[in-house]
Amino acid sequence: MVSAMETNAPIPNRSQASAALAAAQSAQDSIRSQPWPWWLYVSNGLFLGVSALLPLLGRPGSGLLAVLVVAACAFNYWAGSRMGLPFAVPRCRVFIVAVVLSTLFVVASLAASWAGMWGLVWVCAAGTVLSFGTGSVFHYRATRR
Amino acid sequence: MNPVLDPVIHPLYRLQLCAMLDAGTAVESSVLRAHLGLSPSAFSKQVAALVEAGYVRQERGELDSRKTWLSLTKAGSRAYRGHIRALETIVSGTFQEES
Repeated sequence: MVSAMETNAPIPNRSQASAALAAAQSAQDSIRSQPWPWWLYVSNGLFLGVSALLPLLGRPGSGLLAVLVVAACAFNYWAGSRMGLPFAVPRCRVFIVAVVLSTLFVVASLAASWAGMWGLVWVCAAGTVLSFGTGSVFHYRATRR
Repeated sequence: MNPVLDPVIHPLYRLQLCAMLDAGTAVESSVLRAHLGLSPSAFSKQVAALVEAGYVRQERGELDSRKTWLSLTKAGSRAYRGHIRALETIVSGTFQEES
């Protein structure tokens, strides 16, 4: 059951409702497809890469990792605020998957350091940067069509 | 979420404005105006209607007071989502007007 509040506007027909939904979706897409400045990709790539390598330092590295995560979040919030969209999540699904994958590589790197598998830490760091880099390319192309 | 057509959100620019705030959580007003392609006065009118209805919150930036930030209130979020649900119900053909 749909209710219509007291309104001067007539209830839209199916085609009008469909057009309205399309307009709303398009508006949301425009917010979530805002282009990023190139330096945001580079800085986030560096944050992730360094994060994945910090476990090589042992226990101090874990502490620094926590600091770096906070710093990265603050930096991204600042960059988003500069663009006027501090909380918009990108629409590009490949990019989202790439970011999740990069984060998992960082976690794997930490786990590898705990297990003393130092070679694996380097592999995870490479995986972090490669996955984020790939996602960045997709995001860049998707937001600049 | 009950599907309810909302007369305040129904006009296209306001629907799009609410949609963008729903996607962006807090968005700077110049970004919204640029995406909608409205003049400053036309944009202000649309925002004022939503603020007056209690659907949108308008705040000056803490670090940069020249910037104005808009966000949906809880009531605004409920109203927007209810309106979208109502539109979806109309499209799916299950709309029933209350007498």
